[in-house]
Amino acid sequence: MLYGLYLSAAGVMANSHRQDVISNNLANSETNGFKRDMALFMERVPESKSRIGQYSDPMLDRIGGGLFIAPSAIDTSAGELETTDGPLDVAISGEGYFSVQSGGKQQYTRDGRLMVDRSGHLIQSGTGAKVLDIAGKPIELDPSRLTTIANDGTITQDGQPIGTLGLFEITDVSQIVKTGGNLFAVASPAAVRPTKPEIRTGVLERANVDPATELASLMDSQRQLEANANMIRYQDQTLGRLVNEVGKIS
Amino acid sequence: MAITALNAAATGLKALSTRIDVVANNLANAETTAFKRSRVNFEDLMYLQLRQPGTTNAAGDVSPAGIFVGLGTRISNTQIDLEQGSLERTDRPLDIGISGSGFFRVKIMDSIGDGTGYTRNGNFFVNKDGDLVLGMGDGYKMIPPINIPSNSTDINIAEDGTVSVLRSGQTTKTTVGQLRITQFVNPQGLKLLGGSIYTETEASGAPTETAPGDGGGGKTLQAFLEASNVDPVKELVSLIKTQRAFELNSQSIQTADQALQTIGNLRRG
Repeated sequence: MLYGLYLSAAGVMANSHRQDVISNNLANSETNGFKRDMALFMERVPESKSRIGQYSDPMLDRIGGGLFIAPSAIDTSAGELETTDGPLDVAISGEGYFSVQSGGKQQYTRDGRLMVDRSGHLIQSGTGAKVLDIAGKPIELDPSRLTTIANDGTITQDGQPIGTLGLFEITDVSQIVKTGGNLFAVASPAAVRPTKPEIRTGVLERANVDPATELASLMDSQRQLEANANMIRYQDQTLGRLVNEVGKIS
Repeated sequence: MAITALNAAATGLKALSTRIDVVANNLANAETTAFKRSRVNFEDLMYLQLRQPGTTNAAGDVSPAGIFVGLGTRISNTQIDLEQGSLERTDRPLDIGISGSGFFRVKIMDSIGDGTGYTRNGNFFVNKDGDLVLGMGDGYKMIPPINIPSNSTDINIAEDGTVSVLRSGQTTKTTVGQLRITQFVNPQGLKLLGGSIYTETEASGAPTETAPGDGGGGKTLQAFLEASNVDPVKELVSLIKTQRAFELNSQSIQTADQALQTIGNLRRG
């Protein structure tokens, strides 16, 4: 009896978590280079199964363990490209990530709004983190000269090549940890390898959030939450009858 | 719980409404001389780590990924788009357009910064003392100052900034000064003061002054004014996108509110 109450509560919590994730996706629907999170669920292993060899109630052996939040997954599919005509707006047309140096660590991003800071370094405009070249070094420019970035990532100033924008492939997507500011950290360096830059200038990548999908799952999660909440109510009613009426002496 | 969703959606509404403000200002200045449009940049906020990756469960399995919930969005910056506006011919001798990336340096109020402002609005006048001053604000004077003698009949400004005048009773022109053009390493880091005036900041880097024509700062074009670089089509598309994204976030708020209501009513059945 009470066991079912907890399963329903877990259902409410999991769906509420899903709404949190969807809300964040929708809040970032205008954030350049944002990759949507997917709230995933998994069946929870019942106590009787997870404690193999230990004592468990035989009554519960055949009951499922309910719902549990699965580890977050990031949908790394490409967002739409939007033309901005900014000379230092770049978008990656294929796979890969730009690399920036933030807080002494190498981080990755698909947000290509670049700027030149006061020291002449190429930086990411949002966080001010220095953009790195293929060798992992910051790129220094002469701001008084005209900068162009070619589709293969070569940066030229007045016809002279200055450096190449570094592009890196993250081979194991599950290693990505979002750190905010459109930056991704990668837990193990082994999951990163340099790749051939394939970029476009004057273009930015939009968030890969599709409003229709997000709204549909928002409605779905809302109804599932209500269904689980109703289940809690019914079980509470049953429990109430049991306590108040079955043992009643008229 | 649903409170996180409520807050995340609220950050979205706040950031998007700021973009409506910025777009409205861009559109309001679509006809302002030398106005530079601003662009709002968004970034995602911190992530709530519900579970770290690499934790071990009861069965000894190590989780390959953690559980992260984002806390919404925020505006990372408003970026000035310094793209050159089109130069329009005005036929007025004291209208000077800059064809390039530089700025004119003018003397503004001493209480603001070090009293130096920068502008691309070259709508100049001559004040009662003969000084070349800007046509807006309190008549900010040029740095270095340029004085037009009172008996001048014709003013000529060359592409290299040389100002020469023809005095009455004379047949040859006299050079009275040269306009200077100032450049910044990071002009997008300048502070917007309004009235077409920008001031230097920590982010912009120190100004470097050159004569017009060389050094990439641009040429001075007499009888031209720079139009606003606002593209109404771009702004309206941005406005439409913002409006729809705003509505989407209000849907998140409604859903989170309903979820909280459902949970709040659990006990009353």
